[in-house]
Amino acid sequence: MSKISFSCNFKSSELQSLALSVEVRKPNLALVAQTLTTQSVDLEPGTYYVTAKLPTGQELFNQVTVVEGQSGIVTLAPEPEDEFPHEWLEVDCYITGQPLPHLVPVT
Amino acid sequence: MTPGFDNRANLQGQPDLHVLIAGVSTYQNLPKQNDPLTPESFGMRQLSSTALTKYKIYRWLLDHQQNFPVPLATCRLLLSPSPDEVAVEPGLKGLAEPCTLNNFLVAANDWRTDASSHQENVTFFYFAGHGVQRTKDDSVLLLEDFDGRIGGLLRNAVDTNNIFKGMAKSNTYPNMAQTQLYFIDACRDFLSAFKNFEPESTTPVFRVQLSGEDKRTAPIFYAAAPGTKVIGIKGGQTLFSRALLDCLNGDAGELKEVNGQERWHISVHSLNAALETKIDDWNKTLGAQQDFILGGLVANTPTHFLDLTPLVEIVLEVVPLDALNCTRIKVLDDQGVPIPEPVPFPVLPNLHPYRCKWIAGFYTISAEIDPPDQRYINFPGRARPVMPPSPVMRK
Repeated sequence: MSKISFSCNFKSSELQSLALSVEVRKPNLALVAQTLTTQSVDLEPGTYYVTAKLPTGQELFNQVTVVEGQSGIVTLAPEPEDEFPHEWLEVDCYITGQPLPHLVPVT
Repeated sequence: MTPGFDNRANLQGQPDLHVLIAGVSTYQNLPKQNDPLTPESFGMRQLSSTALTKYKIYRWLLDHQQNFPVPLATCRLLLSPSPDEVAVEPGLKGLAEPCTLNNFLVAANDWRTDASSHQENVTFFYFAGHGVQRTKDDSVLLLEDFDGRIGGLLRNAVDTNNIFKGMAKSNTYPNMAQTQLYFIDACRDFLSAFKNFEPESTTPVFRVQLSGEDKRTAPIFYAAAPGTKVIGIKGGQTLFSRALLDCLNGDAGELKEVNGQERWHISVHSLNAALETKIDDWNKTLGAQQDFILGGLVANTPTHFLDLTPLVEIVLEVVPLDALNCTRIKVLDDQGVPIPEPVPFPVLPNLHPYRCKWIAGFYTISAEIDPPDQRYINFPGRARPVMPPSPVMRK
């Protein structure tokens, strides 16, 4: 068994410290563990897929290969197309679900 | 009354499954679909889809009887179909006794007796027909001979709570089934006829004993939230039952260890979650406002097993649409093996968004611009779970 923990790769400290629900599944989709990103899980060697869910429903994915006796950290980050350049946008969109504000040219 | 399906003789002493299905479309004392309402009909007419719904549930149960945790022993069916439903499904004609009060009382009491033979028994109850509410939390089921003219208004009606409570373990029924599934596919709105009177009484189906602990798993899946109606497709089936059958056929599937073995199965929790998703989908598709609410005593337990890994409906959408002609979608399975032409290239505009069904699993879906076009960029895929109930994906 190996201990696996999770790290969320957000820009904002509010989101990084958030405890998100996490599912760990085998490649055949069998659910192995349900926990929080602030917790760790013990896994048998093998390949697993990790999914975390944001309050607004977006999901963060990653894949991990667990080796016997080696602990590891799975980094979970938004898909590149879902990323925001500024942390203040992250909080609005990932926590409250507010749409991006309309940007207008300032003349 | 003999059950329509009866395998008790072959299952002596074993835990088993006992089913009671009741569906009413034709009400003796309510106007037909296009006839004018009467003061005694309280805004209700005969229905067009509920008996057919019950028939489909009945057929599904018979066809999947090997998939339950315990074997099917009895299936009692009471149906009052409409002529339209018989025209659509001739198998309905003469299949079952009509769903009158007396028939319902006899069938329900026999069902309870069978259910109480073993604590590991499982029961399945499904009602579809008119339903009303007297209080914010009850659910009254109107039977075929509902009659607003003579005696108490709800004399030929029964209360879901009475059925539920009467099926609890008690001194008389110490071995009552401890897994019970209830599906109430009926409206739960208030009748204006109630407002000027003391609460009307239904006919009790069971005398409810106060003795005995009640630790059963007994979820009640209501097709309607309090104060709302159920939606049916004329001559078809109710939206709830359609969503339910989709879920039972795999859209509520989950793979977890059961008794030390990984098995695809439907559980109370997975069914609850999938029904919410499916009904939301139907509401969006049809512009309907069908509700769904879970009540009763809820604990998670497998309800039945799936023979195969379920198929999942996928919706692939190219954004922006202008890139449709030059977007080639590539898909790898969890072993990295390409799926041959998962989506035709180019996707014809009339097929977009592209819908298909894949076996549940992990897939890496990427989009390649072919030929390269500087206005668009390739979309590299990452492995994502494709699992019930039917996720919507955009690329």
